Amino acid sequence: MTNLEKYNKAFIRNLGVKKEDLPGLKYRGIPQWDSIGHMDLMADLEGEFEIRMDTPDVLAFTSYEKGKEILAAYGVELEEQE
Amino acid sequence: MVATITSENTGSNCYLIEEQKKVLIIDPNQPDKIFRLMESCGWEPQGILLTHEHFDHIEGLEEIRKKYRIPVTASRSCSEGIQDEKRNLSSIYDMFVWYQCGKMWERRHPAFVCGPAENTFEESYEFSWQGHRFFMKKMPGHSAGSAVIGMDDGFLFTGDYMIQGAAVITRFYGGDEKVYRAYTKKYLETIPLGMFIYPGHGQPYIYTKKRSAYEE
Ligand SMILES: [Zn+2]
Repeated sequence: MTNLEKYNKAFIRNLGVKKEDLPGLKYRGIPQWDSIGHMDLMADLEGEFEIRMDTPDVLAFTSYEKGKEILAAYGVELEEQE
Repeated sequence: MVATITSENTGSNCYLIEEQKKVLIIDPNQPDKIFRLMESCGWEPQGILLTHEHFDHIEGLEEIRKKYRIPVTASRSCSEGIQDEKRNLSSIYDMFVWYQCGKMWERRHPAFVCGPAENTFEESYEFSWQGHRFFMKKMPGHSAGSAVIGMDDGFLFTGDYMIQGAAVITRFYGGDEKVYRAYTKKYLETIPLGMFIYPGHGQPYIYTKKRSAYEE
């Protein structure tokens, strides 16, 4: 599985969304992505990519796209093409 | 008597049940405070009981075990959960405290695990201690290993259920809304009026009016 697939799956699994909902998806943009959903998502991504994000990054992780930039800073490359 | 130690980090309550200077510790949170109270009162610790596996309820567990060498009693699922940093949520310690308490630390708290409980039970467990009757009953939903602890028909330690003004959270890793509704919620609705409720967060209180499953 590619990193992007893992990334997408984490959203799908933790927020109960579909793949086509992902682009443009924002923190608090849907009921499931509230603070609890966010914590579940962050914990899952950290486990998946074996990283530990700093709290400011966790707070800055406010959209599907922003999250990709943040993970890149931890050395997780999410390839753009599929 | 029942003494309460509330963690200023996470807001969790640790309860110390004292009888004839012997003590049972429920949900050990902050070891320093627990040690200080035990020593200043000349109390003798005899056991630890856990309501569930979440980090804010077991934060001080290993330190207290190391010093006191007393047995831990928990549901089997809780015992498994405390050994798993994902299930005990310690991997999201800082996020949890930020979102629940609005507090941020400079440095990240490392995730942690605890050793297994010495005594475990599947569904329920009854025992006597210092002339008091106790039961522990597994109540999954908030977490897979959650339980309530009853004492003498009049006192109930409810962990993260029955917290005043707070809805039950079933969405953390290991939680299950369906199981909560099918089983635990039904049990909680049978709690008689007049019960002393000792929740895992917030003030203890006397249960005086039926609410719909605890402030949903
Ligand atoms: Zn909890």
